[in-house]
Amino acid sequence: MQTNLSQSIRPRKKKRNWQLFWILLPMLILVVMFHYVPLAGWALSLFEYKPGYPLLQNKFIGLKYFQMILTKSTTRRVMRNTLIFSSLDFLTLPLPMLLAVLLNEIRSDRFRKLAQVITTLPHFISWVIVYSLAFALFSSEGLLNQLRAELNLPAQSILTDRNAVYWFQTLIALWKGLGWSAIIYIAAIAGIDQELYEAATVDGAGRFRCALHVTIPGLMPTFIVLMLLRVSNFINSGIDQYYVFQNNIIYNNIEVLDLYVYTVGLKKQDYSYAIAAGIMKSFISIALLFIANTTAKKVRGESII
Amino acid sequence: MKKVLSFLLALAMVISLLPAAVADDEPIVVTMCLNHSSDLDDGKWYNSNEIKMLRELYNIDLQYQYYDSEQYAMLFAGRDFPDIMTCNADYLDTVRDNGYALNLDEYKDLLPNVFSDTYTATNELSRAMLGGENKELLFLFPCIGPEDTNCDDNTSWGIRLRWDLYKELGCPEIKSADDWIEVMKQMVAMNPTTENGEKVYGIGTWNAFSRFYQTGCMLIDGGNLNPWVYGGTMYMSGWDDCVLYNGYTNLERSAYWTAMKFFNKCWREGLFDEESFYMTSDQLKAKVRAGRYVSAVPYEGKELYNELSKDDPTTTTAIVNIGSNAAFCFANKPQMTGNAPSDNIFINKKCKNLEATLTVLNFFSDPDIVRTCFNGIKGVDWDYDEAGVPHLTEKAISDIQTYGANTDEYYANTGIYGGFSEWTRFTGTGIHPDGYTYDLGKTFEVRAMTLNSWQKNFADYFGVSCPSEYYMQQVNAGLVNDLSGDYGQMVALGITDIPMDIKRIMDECASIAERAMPELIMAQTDEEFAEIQNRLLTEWEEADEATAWAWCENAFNEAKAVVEPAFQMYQQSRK
Repeated sequence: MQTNLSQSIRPRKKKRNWQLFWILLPMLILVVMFHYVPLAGWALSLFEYKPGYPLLQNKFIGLKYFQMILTKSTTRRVMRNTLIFSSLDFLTLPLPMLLAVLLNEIRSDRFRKLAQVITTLPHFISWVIVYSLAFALFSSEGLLNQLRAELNLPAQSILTDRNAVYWFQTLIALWKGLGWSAIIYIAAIAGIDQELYEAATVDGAGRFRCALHVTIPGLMPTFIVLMLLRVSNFINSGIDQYYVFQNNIIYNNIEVLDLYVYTVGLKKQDYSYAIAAGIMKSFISIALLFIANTTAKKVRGESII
Repeated sequence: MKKVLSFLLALAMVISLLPAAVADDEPIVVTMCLNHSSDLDDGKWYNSNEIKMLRELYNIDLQYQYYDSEQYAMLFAGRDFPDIMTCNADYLDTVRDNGYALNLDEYKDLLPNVFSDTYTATNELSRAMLGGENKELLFLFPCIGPEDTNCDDNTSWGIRLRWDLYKELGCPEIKSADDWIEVMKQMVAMNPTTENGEKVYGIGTWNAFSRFYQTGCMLIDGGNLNPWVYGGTMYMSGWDDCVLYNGYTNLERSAYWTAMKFFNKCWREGLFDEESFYMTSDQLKAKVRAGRYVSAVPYEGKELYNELSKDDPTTTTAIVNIGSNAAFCFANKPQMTGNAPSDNIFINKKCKNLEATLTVLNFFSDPDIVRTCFNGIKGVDWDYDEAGVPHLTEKAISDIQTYGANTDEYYANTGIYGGFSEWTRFTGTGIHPDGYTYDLGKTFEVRAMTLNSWQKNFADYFGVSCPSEYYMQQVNAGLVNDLSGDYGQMVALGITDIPMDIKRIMDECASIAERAMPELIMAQTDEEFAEIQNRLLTEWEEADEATAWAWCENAFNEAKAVVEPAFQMYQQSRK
């Protein structure tokens, strides 16, 4: 009987799987078209490519650009900046989770929604606007220095202070992204079984202990996944923020790998060199992902691959 | 019923996808590539008289497509060009080597204006320098000169100061950069804050490398250099001798070192605005409008008068060229090859409608149409008198007086001098076959009739008809250098194919120079300045700058040997 039943279920399951596959197919095509097909462009890193010439008419230079990247002092400086920014960003990883927990503890619905809107809103502000705000506040004639002048303190421009670059950019990125990053944790909290809270309350746990022993453990799987993704993007620091805040005084401290690739590839039109840098970045990111995934699997038994 | 409805809807969809039948009066579209953002404003393009004339006379709609540098590169990667292409120096060899450009020699019948005597000399230069082995006519040059033979009342170059304060000081002579700094100090002392209590600086700029070194270019002592030969790097030719100078290592004649010393002195005197290192262009303009500076770097500072004159049309508060011999006067630039190699025009070999495209090219090569771009419609805005001398009409002069010369309001209300200003075949002071300048508004007489308040005040003070007459008096008396000896950009036409390795070194050296600017400018002592200077010289040595210089100097001299005879003939013809 059971065999007959399982045999009758299998064709229906197969049909449902095919239906799911057809639903998935357009997305798969998009992923292939925009993420895998462009990989053919990696071939340009082996040539001294100039737009307008067919690829094979350009001079073949093999791995020359990869060697240049590994030996140039600029690469060391750029990687140093990228690792510092990414490390600082990594240290702030628990903060969105903490914000989500705090928001969850707010009793008043209206106040909680207001707090969430206020913390999420900066995410939608363009970096160009953020720079304008920062200029108005922190430039040598900005609001901060006007206040300092009132208090007879010397002027100080954070925007041109090399020593402030790392922590200032991290704080700005945190201000901008904290609320948005907390959303996924808020959603995860909504998925925690309420009976766990009831059981904890019955056992005498207050709000703090409920948060500590129910909410946070419930968020850990989400945290681990996001952490793994963050590790794999460790050297992808993005360009927008650093592009708008760059200036010649702090350039040596703010130039990250993505900004360097943009400057070299698009502004200076050294496409092959920039592609080679991008390829190396991709391989490093993949390696980091697998290392982090393996570590997570061994430590917690959880992984995404 | 559902099936019938579905069928009808599907039929409607199919019909809507069919190409619409082209009406007889539908204009033929010819597309043109633009890579200058100054041409972008639709109001300055489609409102232009010449664009409208093209529609009326030939039923051709000339549509522009703007490409920034990244999109431009993608254009070449995809090789799907608009009909009329503009091309900068980086791509000249690509176009020629891959056969993207139409050989215009094969279409002489359709291009009588292009092959007229007016363009014989420049066509020959194009063939010789850009025509490849077969010396074909592939590229045309826009803005053939001479440029600014009468200078410009509102020139962007020269020592430029607040006119009202400068007059109050008694117009002291400025013979050097030090004199300039001294006068700025006095002006700031007279005017230390704005009405809103904000500090006034001597000078400021925005975070653009070019603005810094262009200041060094124009100063005669240590400068007097053409920054457009190897643009963006410090290899520049002298305006006077057309010799290539290494602006990195030649400490005596270098736009970079001249500028750094100047701005360093300004900084030590408290005249330099520190926010120049990280301001955007818009932020600088806002400060200029607020009256925060008494002087300006090239191309900046005009917003002050534009802003104040809105409320007070009689104001004389403007940042203007005071005609000092410490800087060159941007006048008499030969420009035999127009704006090349920065700007060149070619026709896409695979353009969609060849006859219409060539009609457009021929149309814009008509000398009378060139004049239309500058002065408007013949018979309405300009015309010949009985003696055959061209003049602006009363309407045209009234328009300039009403809207101001070359203002946005002028363009919007007259359709003159709009989107095509960067791409006319000749400059305004080029000579029409009738023997007069293309732009009839460039004469002193017309300028005198259309002066704004500061220009009138300036002219009255010096007893001339207009400021440009004063500037040209200085030039003609040999008191101020002009640009008549320059053919650096002509030479640069012969150097378009720079190897990637050399280009990479040049970019690296330029980056080192750019990043060191704040340190140099904010150096507190001469010793500190010298220390940074020595460090930079070492960094350039490590970046192998000497190799790039050897290549560039050799290429320049080889191209110069080809071009020099033609330039000397041109100089002879002008005497």
